Amino acid sequence: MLVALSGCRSGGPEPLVVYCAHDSVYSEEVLRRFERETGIPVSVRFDTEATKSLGLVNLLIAEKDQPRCHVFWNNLVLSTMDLADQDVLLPYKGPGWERIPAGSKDPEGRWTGFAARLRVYIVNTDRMDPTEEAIQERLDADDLSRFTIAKPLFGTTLTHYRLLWHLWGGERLKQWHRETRERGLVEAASNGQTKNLVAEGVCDFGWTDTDDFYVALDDGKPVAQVPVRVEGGATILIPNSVAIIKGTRRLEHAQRLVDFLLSEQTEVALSRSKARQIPLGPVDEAQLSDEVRPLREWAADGYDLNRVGDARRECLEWLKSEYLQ
Amino acid sequence: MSLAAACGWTLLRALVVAVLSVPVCWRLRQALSTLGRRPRLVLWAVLLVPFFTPALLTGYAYSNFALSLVRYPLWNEVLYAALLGLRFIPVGTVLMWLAPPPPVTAEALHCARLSLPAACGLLGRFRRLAPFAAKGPLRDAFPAAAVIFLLAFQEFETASLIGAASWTVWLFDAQAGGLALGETLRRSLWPVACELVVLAVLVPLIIRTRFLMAAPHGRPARLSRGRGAFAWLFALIALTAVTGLPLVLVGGDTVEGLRIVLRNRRMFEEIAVALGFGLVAGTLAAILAGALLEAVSRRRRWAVRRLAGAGVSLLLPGLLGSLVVSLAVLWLFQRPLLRPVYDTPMPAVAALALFLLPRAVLLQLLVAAATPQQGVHVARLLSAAPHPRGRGAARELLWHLRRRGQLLAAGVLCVWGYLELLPASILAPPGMRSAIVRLYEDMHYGRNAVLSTITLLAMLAPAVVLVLAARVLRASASFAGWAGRHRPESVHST
Repeated sequence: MLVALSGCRSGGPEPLVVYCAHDSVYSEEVLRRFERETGIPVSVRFDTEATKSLGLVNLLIAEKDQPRCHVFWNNLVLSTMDLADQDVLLPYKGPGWERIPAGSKDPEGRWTGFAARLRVYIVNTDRMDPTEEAIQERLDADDLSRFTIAKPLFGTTLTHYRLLWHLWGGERLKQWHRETRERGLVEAASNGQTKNLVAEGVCDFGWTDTDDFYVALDDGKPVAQVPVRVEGGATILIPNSVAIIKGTRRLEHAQRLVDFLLSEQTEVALSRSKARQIPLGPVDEAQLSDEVRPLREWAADGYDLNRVGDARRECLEWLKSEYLQ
Repeated sequence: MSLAAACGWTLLRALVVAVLSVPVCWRLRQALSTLGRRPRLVLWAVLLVPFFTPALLTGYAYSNFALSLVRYPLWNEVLYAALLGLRFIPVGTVLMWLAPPPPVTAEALHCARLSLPAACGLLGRFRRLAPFAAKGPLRDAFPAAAVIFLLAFQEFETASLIGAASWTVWLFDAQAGGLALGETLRRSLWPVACELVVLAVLVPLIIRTRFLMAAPHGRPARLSRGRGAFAWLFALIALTAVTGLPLVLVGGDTVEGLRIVLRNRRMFEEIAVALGFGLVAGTLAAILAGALLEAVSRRRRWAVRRLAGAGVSLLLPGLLGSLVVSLAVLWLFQRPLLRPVYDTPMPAVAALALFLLPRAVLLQLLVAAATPQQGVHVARLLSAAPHPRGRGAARELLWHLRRRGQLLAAGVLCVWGYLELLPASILAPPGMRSAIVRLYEDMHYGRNAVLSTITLLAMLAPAVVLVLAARVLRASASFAGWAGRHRPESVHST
């Protein structure tokens, strides 16, 4: 029975092991389609919602000498850059890499971005106007108890914090972090919970991602989104990224999966999913929905995350000291 | 919140829940002991359903409501503590029901109180009465309170879904978020120490009083109508709050989601994985528990006793909760010797079996206590009867008296194994995601129709399997009877 449980396949190719930090509700369908089209079986390990991506990133670092994973599909590009720094990733510049614009990929080919999300304010329209002015007014007020963000140790809120560290410097971010809490900011466990707090009217507005926003919108909740803009009016664009793990024994299959994920077909499929992810490479505009086209315009203002540099590590170290004591 | 604060908060909550639960358990036991057989069985059934209700279902159902309490953490705390109490009080009641009568009765304690000198101060009263109380009502209450404390202290799923502060959630998130395993284990030492303190008192007490092996409490003659009504009222409140309301809330969403879910082949695969884990680990725990009890009961053989001693120490990890077991097993399977099987289901199954082992021992003791030994003896004698029909009836009777209870206990263990989240989440290899892990992860997005449908189907799956298994077993009992009737005469004469 244990053998049966282990899923051992008699005959047939050994499965390609994929660590996937992207939400399983969206990524699973894409990976199953890859299996169907190529006949290559895929074995997936997903991350938990609360610890998005960071758990798998640390696992990959821990397994560096004896890698179990062949391909890493991450939904946070900054932590994929961390892996590149740790020499965990194998460069590959295939047709998929060629297709993606320069700002969304590693010049050395160690990782490539695709299908992105944006950081947005989710606003409960029964409680306030979904405008940048109304949001700024609320953020300047003494009472922030109607504003919510996810714990910044994980997920896209971590990316958001790392970018702010890079733009503001550590001291200003620490001060802002302390002050917002003193003013009553509600800290949720995840972006999904942030979305729920606003959608249910417990909070009036909060930080989340476009995919979480659309879950609330599809549920018929009274919500609207406004892009988060940082210095210079830049938006925060957070692409998925895919990378091959150094030491893989399944290089050919891994490369096929990477090219599959970076194809126009996959980007369009993810833009049509409930997450409405934004294609980064050239696609037939006619295939995009009316909801995704304006997101492409916001995405064009996206800050180049390649510039974040050392702030990634410094910010994470500080957050660990804040939350993991 | 730091780990120290989370641990302290969990400790305080578990203590409050345990202490407040004891008087309720007392009253429930009194009420149960005065009822006739049939109403008592009904009350037991109603009382125990909340304990067997999956914590994920309850947590998921209340997650939205808990969100509305985000600015009122104290009320959220009250909600969580109430859910814990309603779920675990029946376990305390079972333990009180099965506990042997203490050497000092309530009447004796009352006499001791009357015999105190009139001028005796508070401290003096305490000094004189404490030894009596320790051998009387406290001895009666401690096992129940200790087990409720341990269950409340180790709880993870509901705390995570309704956002209550807990060391288990803190440690799990930190570990999943990349805290090194050694560091995670080091930080788990404080909560483990808290549990060990309780176990250090509980285990010797249980052994010394020959818990479950001595005759249970005598039955009080009469009970006021108010106390009987209290028992029924409590049972109905617990059933409604922990099981009924969550089923209504989650079930209400499912009509919409059923159409989408039934097309999801992956979900059925994940349910099969969870069932596989539960079945293998539950069976393993049942076999191990049987072997342990068998070894312990053979007191004369020195080697067997040494083996039994080692086996009993296997019970300790399970008593510390599934998070601690999973982390320890993770560490073990990362050692060079066991590393080759790290990528197999073995670590998850091992952790699950270790977690289930104390429960398996308790269930087997319960089954043994409930089995009428005289009946078994008579049925055994009858199974050697010369008449084939008599032999058949005796074998069927033996099956009902002995095997049915053991199989029921194994079934319960398999269901617990199926529903247990942490070992599968921390230890399952890639590509073997259990439905319970998927549910836990998706539940953080909030309630929706599809997720509610999957939740309900996943919760019903073990029930369907158990019903099918019961049918097969019933058929096998009939077969045992048939085989007994057609067995050659010479075999029985030997």
